[in-house]
Amino acid sequence: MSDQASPREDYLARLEDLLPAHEIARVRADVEDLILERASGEGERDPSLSPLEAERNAIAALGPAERLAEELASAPLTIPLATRRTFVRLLAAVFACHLLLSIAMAVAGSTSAAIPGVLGPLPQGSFGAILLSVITIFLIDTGALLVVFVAMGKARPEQAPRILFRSSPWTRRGAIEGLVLLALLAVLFNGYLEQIFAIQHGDSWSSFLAQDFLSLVPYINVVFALFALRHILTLLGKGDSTWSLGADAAGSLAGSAFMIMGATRRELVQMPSGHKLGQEAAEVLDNLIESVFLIVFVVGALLLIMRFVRQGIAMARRIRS
Amino acid sequence: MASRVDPKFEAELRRGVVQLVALHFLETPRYGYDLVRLLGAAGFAIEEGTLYPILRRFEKQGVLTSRWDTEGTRPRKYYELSEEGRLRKNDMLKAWGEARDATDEALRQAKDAARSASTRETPEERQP
Repeated sequence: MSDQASPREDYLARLEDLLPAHEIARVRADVEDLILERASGEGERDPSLSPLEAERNAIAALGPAERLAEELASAPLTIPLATRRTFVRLLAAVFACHLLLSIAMAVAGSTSAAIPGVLGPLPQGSFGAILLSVITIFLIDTGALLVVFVAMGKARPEQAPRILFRSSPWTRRGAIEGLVLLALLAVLFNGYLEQIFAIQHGDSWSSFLAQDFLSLVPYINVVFALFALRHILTLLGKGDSTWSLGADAAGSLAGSAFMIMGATRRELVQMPSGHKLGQEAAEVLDNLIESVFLIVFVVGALLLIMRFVRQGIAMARRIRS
Repeated sequence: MASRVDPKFEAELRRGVVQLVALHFLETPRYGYDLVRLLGAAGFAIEEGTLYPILRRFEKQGVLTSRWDTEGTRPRKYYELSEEGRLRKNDMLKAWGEARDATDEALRQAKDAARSASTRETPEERQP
């Protein structure tokens, strides 16, 4: 057997791979010395041992190269199991949400990206194009999550992910308040939306919301209904249950879909003809209101997606337990 | 009879003490395997994989000095306590003494407390 193929060389090569560059030469020499000394000692103690066996025993006394390298670096060189699990779970959740958003955008008929290079509708052409798009989404999410993990790993790795996974205990009072708020919002959206978002037009006031935008109102009612169902189930069950969490998750998903539909409308604002503003002022106001709506829709979609993931995980935990 | 001591407890207990003992053995220059054998004979069986990171850390901290002896058939690395190491060894010895005394005292207090609690029991309470 050649010297290159010896277990000692294999072990030292593995160790070299794991060590910081400035430590390699010194540690290699030290560890090789330890192996040779131990192998020699083993051979003297038990002459029946072959040199190869003695060397293997010496390597066993050093333990796995990974563990020795970790001890020498005084820091974990391998990714702990808890981190790996957290990464995989987060990746699954982020990827699923990203994909759902892209599907929702495609279904809603959006043709442009909501966030260029990151979030856009899935192509509706060939199977190959869809597959490529899904792979791209996966790679984007993996890369983004890696960046987040590296950044959080340098700060407080055990704290940051809790933002996403923190529990939201619900009380009877909270459920009643939630129902009242939802009722108010429903009345507002169904009865007074055009009156609130209005501009003076001659002697009267007219809504500046585009018809494209107003056509979404029935969809928001579905969202309200799901969240109301959540509160009612919480009240009936005197606390959270699998069903109430499911309703919340469904409401969050429907809400995020609504927000995406809002963000991808062709027209959100349309100034009524005959308004008293000048042409230029009307354009500025139009753009300003459109921008505000867009920000509200994008931020709302993100928050609701986070809520969907959180409630989905809480529901899965409940089912498992 | 097999020992009931949890191997992890034993390993953690020895991990700190073995450093102190190793520093005492390194008053005179010794190479790694020599130190492993000496520690083993003294009741502190330790593998190279555990000892070497300790030696390396001490070397980085200036507690140990090292030199390669190239006179023999094979180069051999010798470790020895530095001046800084001697001071460190004395401090560690002091800390070990304090920890040992504190442990003895805590165990004595626990034993006294158990004894006084058992003498407070009424004869009826002691009935099975």
